[in-house]
Amino acid sequence: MTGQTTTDVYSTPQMKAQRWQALAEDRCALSGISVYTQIFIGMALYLYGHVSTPGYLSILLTIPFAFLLLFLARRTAQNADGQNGVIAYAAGKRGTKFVLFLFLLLHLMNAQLIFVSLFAMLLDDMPEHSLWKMALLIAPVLAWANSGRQEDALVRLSRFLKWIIFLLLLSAFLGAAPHGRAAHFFPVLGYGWKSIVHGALWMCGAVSGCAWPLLMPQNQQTLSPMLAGKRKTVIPTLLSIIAGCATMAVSVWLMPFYAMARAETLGWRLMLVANMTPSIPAWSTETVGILLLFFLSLSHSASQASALAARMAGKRAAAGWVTLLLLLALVPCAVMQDAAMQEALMHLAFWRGPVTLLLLLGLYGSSAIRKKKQHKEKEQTP
Amino acid sequence: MRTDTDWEPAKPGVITEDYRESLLLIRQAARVENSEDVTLREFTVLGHPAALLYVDGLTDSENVQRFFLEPLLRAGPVPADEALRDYLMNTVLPLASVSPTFQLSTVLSRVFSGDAALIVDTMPGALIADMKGFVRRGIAEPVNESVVAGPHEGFTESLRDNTVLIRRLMRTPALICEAATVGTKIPSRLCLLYLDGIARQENVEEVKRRLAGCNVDYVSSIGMLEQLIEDDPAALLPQIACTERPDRAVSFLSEGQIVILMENAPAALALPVGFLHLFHAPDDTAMRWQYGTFLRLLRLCGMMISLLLPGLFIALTVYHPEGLSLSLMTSVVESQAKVPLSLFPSMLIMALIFSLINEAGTRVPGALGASLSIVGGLILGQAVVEAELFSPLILIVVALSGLGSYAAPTFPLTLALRIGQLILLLAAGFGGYPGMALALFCLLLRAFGVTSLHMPYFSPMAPKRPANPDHVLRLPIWRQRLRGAVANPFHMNRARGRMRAWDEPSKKTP
Repeated sequence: MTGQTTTDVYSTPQMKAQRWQALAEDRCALSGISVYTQIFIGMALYLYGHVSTPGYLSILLTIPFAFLLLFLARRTAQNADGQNGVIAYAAGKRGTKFVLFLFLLLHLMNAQLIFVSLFAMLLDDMPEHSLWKMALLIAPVLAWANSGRQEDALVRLSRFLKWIIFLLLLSAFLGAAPHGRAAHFFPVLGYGWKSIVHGALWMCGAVSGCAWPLLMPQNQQTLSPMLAGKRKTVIPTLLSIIAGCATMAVSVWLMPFYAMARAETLGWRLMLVANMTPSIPAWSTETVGILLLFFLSLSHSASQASALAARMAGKRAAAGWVTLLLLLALVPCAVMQDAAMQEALMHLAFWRGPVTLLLLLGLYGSSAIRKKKQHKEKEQTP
Repeated sequence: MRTDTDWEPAKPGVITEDYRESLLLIRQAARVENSEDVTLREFTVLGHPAALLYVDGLTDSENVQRFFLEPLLRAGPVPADEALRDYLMNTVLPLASVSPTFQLSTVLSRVFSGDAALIVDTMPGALIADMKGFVRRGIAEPVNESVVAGPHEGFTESLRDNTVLIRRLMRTPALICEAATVGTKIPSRLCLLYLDGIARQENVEEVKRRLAGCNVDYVSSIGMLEQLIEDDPAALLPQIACTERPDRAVSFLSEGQIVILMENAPAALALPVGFLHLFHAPDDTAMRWQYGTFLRLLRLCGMMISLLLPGLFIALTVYHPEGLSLSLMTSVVESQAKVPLSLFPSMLIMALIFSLINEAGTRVPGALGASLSIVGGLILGQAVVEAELFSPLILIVVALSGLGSYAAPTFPLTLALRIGQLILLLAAGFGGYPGMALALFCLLLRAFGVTSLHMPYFSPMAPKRPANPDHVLRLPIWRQRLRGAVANPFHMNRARGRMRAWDEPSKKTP
């Protein structure tokens, strides 16, 4: 991202600092929204399908994991030279390009899978091959969303769209309240703890994205406020997780868990919600809101990836990588209609969380050792 | 054969002491022989041959006779220690605005703006006197920005009248009124107004830079100027506010924005502006805060209905009927049973017909306007329902969304809403909620990327800036201690301390 939200009318250093701080806050908010969306969609796609006990316990388990990730990412970024990015620092140019390629590819494949499963239920008359063709739309939208001034627009839009989360919760709660039963929260551990851990690992993968912005190479002016203020990085994530738990609780409150467990896709869940709450505004808000958040989260991740790519290529704007995004989108669309491929992708998504944690631990360790060495060398030099 | 230099008003040339040469230069440049209204009157002043150049109709002939020709013809001999030009300017001509100039281009520009130019043998340069006297429209109520509370004066086509209207409302020397022109071959006069000490100089310089960079021979209207200097011509939303109201222009000035007035334009441009400036109506501030807030919320609902309702209706009824209650679904199916067209094309056609009636209503002469509304609204609407061409539900949705679009206080915003509505309707028709959400995301992303004079369009909300809390809700005036953030004014504070200072507990009488 360029970070050029305004012109140089912000002429005094104090005003410039304010501007960078606001931008850093907006970026953190955007990350928070992405995390929430990942939790929400992750819940619908994975959690309900794989966890046979109340899934809110899995989310509760995810919270310490998310904070561990954030802590490691912040400390690693502080130790390393943030301007060039932690990944570039550790893996070199070629390594970063490889990581980037994997990130983009997996991200697009995951997005297309969500897109198709989501749209399959919302547009139930449409044949599946048409849906896969529609999934191709993601690439140009992402490419456009990451071109020129749209990068800044994405950050600004997040400030507006965060209210949608509250609207979603409100509409879901208002719709659920008359139908809710406390008994739906039980049995808590009636089906064993394994499925809860399993679900927590799914969610860890979903929230692991919150650590990425801090590892990306970016402008020192935005990175510094992000690292300096704990509340700016931690609070949006905390709020997103609380909101995710609240959404989960509302969903569980709404219907017995065996019904939720059958709802393997977000579309199914939405249909169940629609059947339980025949309230048009609530249902419409929920559907359009989730979709908006989905697109925002998608664009955010792509924006991070293309910003990283641009920095690696020594460019300020990510325009050249737009073509790469488009080309990358065509490959998974062609191969992902195969069920085995989809299964493989689900497995990859499952291991995303633990792998990110291990990667961060490694990066943190190496950066801490290097910093200590540098510190010692400084002390020794007269 | 004519060459390109014939189409060149800024002819290089200097008015010298040589009367014959200067006269020939002016005669050729002003096309005196070809233009019937361009008058070149030759006479003798103090024994020297002289000529007066003016455009009949643009210049007040009576004033020329009374304050120019008569004093000149009656003038006594020139004192030995005084130059002819100074004698004429200081002693003979009883005029407030008279100035010397040497450039032929300046002479022509001033004469064709309604001034009179005098050249005299042995006098270097010409004397230009303000003699404007053309027909002008009186000050009337603005047609497109009517208000319930607040002044009822609107701008006219006269640049000077417009600056006067603003000066009358803002009586301070801090109000700077800089002259400028736009148009390389036929320059149009402009006035750049800003509040010194409040408006940021960088913004003023940027506006001047853009005006100077308008490389077009003639700018015919203020709308054309707006398109030439805006940040993002491809954006759907207007980035410069256009107002017909002096009080609104003054409100912009007090926020640190820059106002541009143009000759022959009964409107002013203000920049930089954000979305909120287009959302706020001129009389919001004039009303008590409870009324203002109520009206703003109503307006917001109207705008949302206008933008989203047709698309939502189509998405729900065509793709997601599970979201509808049984009774509503039955009513939709029953009303649609005898109609030949399906819901989506019906809605699209009706929305286009509504826009057509609206456009026709704007263009027809005033007397026919009422008849057209009756034909369009009542007869056509009733007829299509009775003929079972369209479902009454479609008519209700289109009428509601149309009504919502009129809630937008500015016409460009109304048009932007209507275009946005059509885009969302098409997206909903092709892809239900997913399609609509995708289109809405793109529209929002595009809107949030817009800037006005490089300032983010949705500032101070996104990105957040410390500013006046007068956003969607119209908070009480005494809580609005800061100015708007969009123009990034030098002094943010409107008031120091409490605005209702008399209400302080210490100042209350026991």
